[in-house]
Amino acid sequence: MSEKMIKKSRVLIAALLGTVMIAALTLWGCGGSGGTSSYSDPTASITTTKTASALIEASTLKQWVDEGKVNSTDPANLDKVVIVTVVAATNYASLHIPGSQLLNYSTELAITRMDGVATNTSEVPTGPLMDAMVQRFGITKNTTVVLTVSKGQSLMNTTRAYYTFRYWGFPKERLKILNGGDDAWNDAATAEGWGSAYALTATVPSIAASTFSVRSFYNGSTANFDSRYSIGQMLTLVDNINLNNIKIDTTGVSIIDARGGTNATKIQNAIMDDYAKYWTAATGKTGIMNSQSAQIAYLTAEGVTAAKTMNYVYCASGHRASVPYFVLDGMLNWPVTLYDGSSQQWGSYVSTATLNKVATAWQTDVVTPGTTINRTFNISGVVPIVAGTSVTLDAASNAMFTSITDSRANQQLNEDRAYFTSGSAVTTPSTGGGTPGGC
Amino acid sequence: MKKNILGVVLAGAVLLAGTAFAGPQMTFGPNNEGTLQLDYKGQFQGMLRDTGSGATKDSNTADLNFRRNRLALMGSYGEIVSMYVQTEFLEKQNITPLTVVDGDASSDFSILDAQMRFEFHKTFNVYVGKLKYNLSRENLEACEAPLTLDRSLFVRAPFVTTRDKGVAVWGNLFNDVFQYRLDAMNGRSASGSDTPESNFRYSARGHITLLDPENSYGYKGTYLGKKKVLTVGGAYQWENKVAYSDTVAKTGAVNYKGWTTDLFFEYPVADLGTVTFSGAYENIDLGGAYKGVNPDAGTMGLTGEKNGWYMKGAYMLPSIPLQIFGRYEKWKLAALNLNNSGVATDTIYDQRIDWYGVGANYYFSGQNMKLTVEYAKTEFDKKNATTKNFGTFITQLQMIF
Repeated sequence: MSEKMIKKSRVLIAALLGTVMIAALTLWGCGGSGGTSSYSDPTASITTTKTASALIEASTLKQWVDEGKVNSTDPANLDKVVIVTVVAATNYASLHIPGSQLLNYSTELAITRMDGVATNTSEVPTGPLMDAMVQRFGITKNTTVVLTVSKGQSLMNTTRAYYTFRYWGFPKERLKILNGGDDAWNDAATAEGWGSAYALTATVPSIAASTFSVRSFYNGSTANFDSRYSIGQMLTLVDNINLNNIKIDTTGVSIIDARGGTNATKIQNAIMDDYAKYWTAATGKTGIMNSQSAQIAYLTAEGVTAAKTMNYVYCASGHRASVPYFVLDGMLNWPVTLYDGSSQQWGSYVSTATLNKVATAWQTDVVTPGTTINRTFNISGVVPIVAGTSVTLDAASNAMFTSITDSRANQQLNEDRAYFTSGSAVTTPSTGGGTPGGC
Repeated sequence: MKKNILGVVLAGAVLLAGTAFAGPQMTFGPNNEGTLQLDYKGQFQGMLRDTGSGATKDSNTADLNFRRNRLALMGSYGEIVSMYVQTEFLEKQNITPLTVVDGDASSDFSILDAQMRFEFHKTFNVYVGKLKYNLSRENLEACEAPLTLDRSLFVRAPFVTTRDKGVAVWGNLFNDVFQYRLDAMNGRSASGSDTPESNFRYSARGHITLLDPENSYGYKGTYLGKKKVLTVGGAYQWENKVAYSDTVAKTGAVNYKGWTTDLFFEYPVADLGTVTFSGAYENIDLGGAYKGVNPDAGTMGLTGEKNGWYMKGAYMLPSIPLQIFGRYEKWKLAALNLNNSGVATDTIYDQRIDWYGVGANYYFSGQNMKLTVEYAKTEFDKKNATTKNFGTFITQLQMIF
């Protein structure tokens, strides 16, 4: 074969092979999910504590106890369970489920923090406080947390803890509330003869602290903080409803006042609700949450259905509101946001205050600019509205933040988001981003 | 006036393009059959990344540093025997492919290559010593002649650098149309109880090269329009019992298997310039060790279990030595943790990375003196506090003397 022929043949083969290779690369590049093989997340398949809703019965918890999951230190058992009793220290010291640990409801779930132009006395713990708490419990990223209360205590304690953990990024599948608390556990143990190993005890377990940080939940999204509304956000919401910019019809939003009882005022447009209607409690015992269908029926009667784009819940201090928060988020998977300042803050931002009086823009008992509708609905009709006392004015903020939409006035969101996205501090071997390497 | 300045710049560039550098060369032996040549190879970079500094690591990071800084000693004696030794001296770099770290705190001097070469026949050559292993074309391409500013950031094999110690046999057959390469290398150095077994790593690579042949041990990312090349290659590499999936219990020993296919095409057309295209797919399998309870860190990350591909393209102008290029890479890493402190819970599984960059080479004197600029974006499918998208701008001056 001549040199010329060899060259021509090479050109032809070259063209053919080039076409095949380019086609192959195109297929790799465009086909399916990028054309490359996927890998599995070993931590995704280890959740053996998945349940239909975040509400579990005593028998489910017993099964996890029997499987050795509670406070497990076995490095091969990544699917650990931690039981947290959310009560005052004296209640916990008296009796609790074996292996459970104390989350002091009185001191750890509500602290005083800046929000808007004043401090408020019942706000979520900061990131460092939350980290200290979860580390004390030995919680890791793969831990399922079961929340309970001592006999006779309110299930509201657990729902407030549930909200707090959700706020700090815990996925729903890793948070459970023991329906009926320790009462239900004790009743089941007695009725079914579980034995002394399951009996309520005063023995405090010895737990090795973990190094986990809630910052490890950060995956590029801070949507977990959407579970809370600040005073500025709530004022803006009410104004927008008053201005008819946001609808409260069947597919719009709802504002749910979960305080229960008789109240002199409410946030304009709010539905009057009662946190205690979500459970049924025998005398002296912790309530048993109503069934899912009963919850839907109750809410539907209030005008709240799955069609709502968002449900904003509040109460007096953000604790009772955590009950419908849990029902909507943990049981029904409906959208919900908790206005944490609640009526104690809303009722303190009034024009009639003599102490700690906020600037006009922040006042809750004035008409929405551009409308004739007040931000507050006066149920009793008594005037002047009596100012609350739960806030302490910050003069600098009151002078600086002239708009309720000033993002700087959402101090908790700014502080907590900065902490959440700041990366973890615990050290273990890194898998590395590589070095430039040689040639 | 502007036109005049441009004209002067271009004229100067064209004049420089005609200058050739060559390191000092000496001959020895009774009949001058021995030669020895000393070269310097430097790549100095100015880098700017839009993340990595400040309290929140979100501020820009700037770095001036050597990417490569080498002395190469090349010698031969007669037709068969030759040697190649190359040193590397680098100060620690701030900006790495996926992270920003504190730099300049340490320096690293190493013998990069140390090869005894025996070229018996074009069909049978033996290289012994420390040399590039025969997996990806990309790694075998000369780092002084990449098409883009640098080669793919992701193609490296696990538990070794770009070189390994061992023996390679290679040759060209069928009128240089087919090239084979076989090597047996050290692989992962037995490091106490971290390595299940001390086994050699083996590679087999072949390519078919059409038009003007590529028949050397090393490839180039571009021949600057001096050759018409179409090469299709593939390789397979393996090492048994390379790591544990549970380094604490010393259980779950896994094998390493890697394979790749690649294509290179360059075609100069008179008066129209030169087009270049290159692409490859690579799969690094470490037996799923990353899913273990305490996996070996080397089975994860940039050089751990992964698969992906890259494509590169360039156009070189016919009249001035300017080459415009682009590169796109798409990779899936089994597990990646970019926390410089190393936080186990910051590990992201099945991380997908898109890397794309554009830039230009200006060849003052071929590869001996060139200026390169490149802007690249690195995007992650999943993010956390330490894994965020970033952009990098690099200017590089290369000199081979």
